[in-house]
Amino acid sequence: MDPITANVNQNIDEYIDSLVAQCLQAPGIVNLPPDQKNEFAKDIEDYLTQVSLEALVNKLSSEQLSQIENLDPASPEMAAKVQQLAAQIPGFADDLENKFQEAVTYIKQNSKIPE
Amino acid sequence: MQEVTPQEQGLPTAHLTRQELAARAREAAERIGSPDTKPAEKKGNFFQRGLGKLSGMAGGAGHVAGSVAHRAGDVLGGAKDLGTHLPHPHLPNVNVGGIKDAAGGALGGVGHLAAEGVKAPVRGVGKWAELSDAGGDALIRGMAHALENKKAFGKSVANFALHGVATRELSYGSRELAKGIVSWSGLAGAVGGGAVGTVVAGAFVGAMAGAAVEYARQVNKNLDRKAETDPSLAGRKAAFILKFKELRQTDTLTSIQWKKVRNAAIFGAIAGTGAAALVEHTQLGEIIRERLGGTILSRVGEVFGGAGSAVGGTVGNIGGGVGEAVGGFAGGAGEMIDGGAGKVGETIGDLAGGTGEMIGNAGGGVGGIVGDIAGRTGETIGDVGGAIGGTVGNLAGEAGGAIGGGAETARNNIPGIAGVGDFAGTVGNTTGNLLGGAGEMAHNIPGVQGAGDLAGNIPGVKGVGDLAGGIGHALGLGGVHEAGQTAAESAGQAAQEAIPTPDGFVPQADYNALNQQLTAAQNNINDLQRQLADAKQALDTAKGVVPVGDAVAAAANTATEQAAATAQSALDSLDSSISLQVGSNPWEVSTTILKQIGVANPTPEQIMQLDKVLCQENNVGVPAWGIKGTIDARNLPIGFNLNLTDAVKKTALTIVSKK
Repeated sequence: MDPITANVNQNIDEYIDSLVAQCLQAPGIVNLPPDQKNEFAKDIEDYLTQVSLEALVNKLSSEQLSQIENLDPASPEMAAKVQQLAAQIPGFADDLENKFQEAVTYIKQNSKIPE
Repeated sequence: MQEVTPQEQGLPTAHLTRQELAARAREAAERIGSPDTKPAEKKGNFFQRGLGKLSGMAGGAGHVAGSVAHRAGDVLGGAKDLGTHLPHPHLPNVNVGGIKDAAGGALGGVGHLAAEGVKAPVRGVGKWAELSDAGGDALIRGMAHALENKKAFGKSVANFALHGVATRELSYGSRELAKGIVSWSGLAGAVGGGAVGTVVAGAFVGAMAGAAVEYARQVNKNLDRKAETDPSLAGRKAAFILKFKELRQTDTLTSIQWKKVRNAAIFGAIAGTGAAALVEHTQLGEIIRERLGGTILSRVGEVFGGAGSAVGGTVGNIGGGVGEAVGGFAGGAGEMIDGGAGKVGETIGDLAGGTGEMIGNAGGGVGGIVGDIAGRTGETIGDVGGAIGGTVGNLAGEAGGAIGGGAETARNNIPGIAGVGDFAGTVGNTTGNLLGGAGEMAHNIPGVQGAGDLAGNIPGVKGVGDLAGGIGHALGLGGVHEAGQTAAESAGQAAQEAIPTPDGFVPQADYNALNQQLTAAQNNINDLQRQLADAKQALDTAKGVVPVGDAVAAAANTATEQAAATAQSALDSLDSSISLQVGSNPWEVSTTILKQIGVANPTPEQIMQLDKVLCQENNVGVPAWGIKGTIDARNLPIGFNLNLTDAVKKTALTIVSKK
């Protein structure tokens, strides 16, 4: 991985970590024992990943969806295609950031992950 | 096109070491920014201009025009097909196909103008390329500035890429990054890997249609709307996401693999943002074209071609709606006028003729048909008919105005696509004027006030209700659709009551009373919409409440039991089978069942849960879900009976009890 790619990935991880940290300040979570808190943090991170995937897929046309529909979810091809499609949706960064913020706001207010 | 590898082009591969990257950046900086570089060398190295480039641009424009023309052909064919296969429901005996053929011809004109509109930004790119000769140094400065000032996820794009890289300062780092991008841009199309590769290849080529970025947003909105009304696409999306979730829940997809997909989506989003900034603020496109020449240009052409297709598709959709609305107007008018006003047809024809060849064709068809019908009997329309015509005209005028307004906004926001925007605006406004004028005319035609003897028996009064709804529906304006339908139904009822004597004239006072009732009906609709909005907000709020304590839990249980009982009652009231209607399918049937039993806004997962059982119980195959059956879900004929078996009802109840 080239250094710039590594840096972007590191920044993304830090960004997601900061969102998770905000969620962990929710009244019903902040005083949980460390092991439960860690478990919750993993669930939040999983959920934010799900949010990113849903935000992208909801923006895809039928033709775009067909490009990834039958790829192996764990394959490098899937990640590459997801990256390419995300790059081609105008305004997707704003849209995704809003979706993340909505998720964080919900978790902070309700101390639980949306169903 | 034959693929040429980077090695064959004499270009480095994707996996450069950091030292090699730095060397390339230095090389690029020297070539771009060195004060010792002579202008002639700059031109030779970076901005090779001349006939080759111009011919390339022409090729791109030709490609675009070809794509748009192709799309226009599709639209034309589709419109004719529509005319052949879909007789208007309100007027089965009228040659609606003729009208729609005319509308199809009109769409051909739309496609042509769309092609002209799309050529404009391509020509603009050519001018842009000339300007880039001003100097690579300014380009690098502009790129660095753009990268620093464009924000994504709380940071500048430059900061996102450079965080952790040893730089003396951000501006210096972003300048180096910009040089790197320029240096790498030549590889991007062939390599497509790595950060810069992604920025340049993944996004730039997409955003290279940078002039159309704003327009693409409009297209996206259109796609969203289309997706909402495309049950099969919604089902595919739900299935796709569900597959990920299931794999993750069983840990078949590891957290690292899962994270890679997330980072890819965010990375792409950042790349797209950076791309838009660079393309918007710099001449990077010129560099990319210089490096990859025809390849990139061709891809730009494809992108523009895609945008052109989208333009054609969108305008075509609008045009189709207009055609449908015009057809509907003719149908409703035909029924309404049954025995009335030959002048209406002539006047509509005259009006339409004045709006240019495209609308002229459609309007001419309308005029001819209306004239034929009108010529059968009588000379006048009743006051009520006129009033309803006016209402329809107003609704249509509003709808047309909305289209025109939308097109105007698009035109103002899309540099280079003014041609298309202008044209669409003209179509929208002209259509609004045409329909509005027709209604107004029906209202004001001399003699109309005088002879209402047919009004009491007008079979089209109710038809006009459907017509108004049809217009709103055809133009995609749900509010207008509902308002039109309800208002016109009220009008129909009022008309029947207001005209008790079949051979008498309708007094002006009754006409005024009818107008008042129409206004009151509209006000009622507005109130109802507000109440619905309030109720939805209250429901949303209620959904967000987290039950605390036994009392609340008990109340929640009671509510759930009541909901289940209500759902059971609703299920019992359903027929034992549902016959598929035009455009319907198991997904839509599942959605309808859930709504009928109390799930106001079923999620795709809930719909899919019921849909699977519904298909299994009826031996309907869904290959994408691994469900086998004697008939494929995608090939179900109209009238196919879906049995609501006990298993189907049980599943529906389970979903209700979980909500």
